[in-house]
Amino acid sequence: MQQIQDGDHQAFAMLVDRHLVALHGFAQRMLSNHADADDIVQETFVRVWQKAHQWQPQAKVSTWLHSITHNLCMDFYRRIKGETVNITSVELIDPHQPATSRQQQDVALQVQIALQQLPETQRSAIILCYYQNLSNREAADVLSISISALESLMARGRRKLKKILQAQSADLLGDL
Amino acid sequence: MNLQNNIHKYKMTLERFSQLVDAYGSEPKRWPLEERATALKLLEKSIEAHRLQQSASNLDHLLDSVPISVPTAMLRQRILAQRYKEPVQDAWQWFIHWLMGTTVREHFLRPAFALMIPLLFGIFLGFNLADYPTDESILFEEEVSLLALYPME
Repeated sequence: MQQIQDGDHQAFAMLVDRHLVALHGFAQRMLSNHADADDIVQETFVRVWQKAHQWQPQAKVSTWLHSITHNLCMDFYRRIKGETVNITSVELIDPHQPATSRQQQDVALQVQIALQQLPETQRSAIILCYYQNLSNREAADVLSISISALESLMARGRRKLKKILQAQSADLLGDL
Repeated sequence: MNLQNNIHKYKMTLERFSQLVDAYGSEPKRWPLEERATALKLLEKSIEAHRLQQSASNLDHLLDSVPISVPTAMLRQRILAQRYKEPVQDAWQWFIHWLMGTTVREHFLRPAFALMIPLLFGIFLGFNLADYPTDESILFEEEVSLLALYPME
């Protein structure tokens, strides 16, 4: 990061290579849309380049990057606030990946739709800890909340997910 | 050593274990590092803890079913190309950017300079108005001269 602060293009390219997959996965899971996720990740790295001087050495780089992506996702939600959420527009994370079976693909789609139905803070908490493998401290830092508040968000989010999935299809999902 | 000390600080109860799996799910690798060892010990000897873990694992399997995404190579190219572009600013953004400066010294000096401009203008205007003739006799002569349509001597 110090090299990027000095305007080192090669160091920036290395940073992109190291964190692109993780941040893209985060944005896609937050938004469930490839094009929007691409835009958010692109904007994240542009901001990193332009505001590298704002990075504090005591902050972990991945946590800082997740914070920027998270804030951009929140801005995105604010922009589309009021628009009707069309759950049929939710895309499967990677439609090109061969699904082992039609049923598995259906389950994956239902889980994604259920995730989109969670409040943004609960969704963020679950995605950061569960999918992004951030520690509880790091995830709490990204969301600017305490660890106990993070745990409360995740517990409520998981309970709501169960309810939504059970309501969607009891046969497919079995007894949660 | 620090980790060992931390582990001893956390006493695992069934209630806390339930909170852990409610929040983090059934996989021990996702539990907080400082509580993991004590939680696993409880799991070994408690049937109820085992039941709670099993219950949480069903949702975990569903969450795991969502495949991981891979960004395209084009996105990487776009990001690397985009960084060379300067952000587009309108006149107002440019002014605010200039006004705030980039160093701590400029943060104070530039707004102070901007505030000085109307102040100096006011002082300038004040001095000029003060030079304007206010003697009533001269003003009266000027008025008569204008009405008589001939220049005043």
